[in-house]
Amino acid sequence: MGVSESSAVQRDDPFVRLAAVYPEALPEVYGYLRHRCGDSGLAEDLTAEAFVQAARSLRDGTLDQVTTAWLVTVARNKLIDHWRRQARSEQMLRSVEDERGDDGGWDTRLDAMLAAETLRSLGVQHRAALTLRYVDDLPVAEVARLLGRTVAATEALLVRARVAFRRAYEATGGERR
Amino acid sequence: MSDPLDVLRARSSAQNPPPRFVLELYQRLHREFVLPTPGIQRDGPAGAPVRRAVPCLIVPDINQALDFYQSAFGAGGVERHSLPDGTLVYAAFRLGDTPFGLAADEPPWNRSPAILGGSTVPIDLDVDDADMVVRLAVTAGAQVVIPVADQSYGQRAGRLADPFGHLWIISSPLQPTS
Repeated sequence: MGVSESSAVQRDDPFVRLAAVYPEALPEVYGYLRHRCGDSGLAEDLTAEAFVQAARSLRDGTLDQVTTAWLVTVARNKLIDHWRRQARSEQMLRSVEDERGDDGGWDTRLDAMLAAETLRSLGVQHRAALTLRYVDDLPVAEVARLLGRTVAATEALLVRARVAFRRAYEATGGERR
Repeated sequence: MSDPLDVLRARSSAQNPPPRFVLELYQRLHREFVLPTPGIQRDGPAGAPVRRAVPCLIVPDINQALDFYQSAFGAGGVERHSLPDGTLVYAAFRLGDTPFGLAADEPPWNRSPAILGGSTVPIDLDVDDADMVVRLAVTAGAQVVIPVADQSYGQRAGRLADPFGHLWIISSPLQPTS
């Protein structure tokens, strides 16, 4: 029996505040990341980064109370940082394939599982934009802020990402009408 | 017209990570709070992995031991760590700037001096007044093993056994003879 398996229930200190939300927040944060990055190892790494940031902010007094929502927001930022690093290495490997055109008012019903798989297969820039816009259901302005782009550039990126998505979805034998 | 990509929208996505990860992360978070103490400097080569040592004393009863170390040595910074059901499993305290842990007998992992029939590690306490500290400790229940006396190495020192069998060497600097 070690200290790590105990909870310091007799003190109202920063660690207790973190330990109090841990059981409820952990599945939310891990699930958020696992669902979006499709890789359990990466989801674990980013989950740990989010919680360690909470621990340090509580310890240093820059954060007073930690909530599940705060942790999920930090987790999203960690994921975006990861995408940025990935985008840089992808750009070194190959020039970004820019999809031209528009998706011409795609009107169809997608299979949810196949759509999620398609999203995971896209390049990181497209995947990032579509994940924030559609999976997280954020407004375009918020997606632009998170990706550090202008709204116009983000709108253009989303159009290209949708074209890439449609092409990839249809190539996997997805329903076409 | 609804957007076909709306199918991607996440519903509740809570998911339990592997139990191994749950425990590892909890331990790591706890270390974030316990280990870094401002003012502690690392000696040794740059990048030496050890930050400091924290002795953990095994005793029959944690609360009783805390009482003794508080009255005998003025222990401070007491923290008790309990399970959700209230079971006290660990305590931490400080003597001066040195952190100590306390854990209860739990053979075969944790065995106090009483179970082992002795202690192998005396702990040196640097104090301002060895005579006074020893008097306080004896009042609180310690036994004198070697009485306080002037030592040839320039210290005034004596040795105690506390009520749980842990050994303490109490030393203060010898006052220059006037």
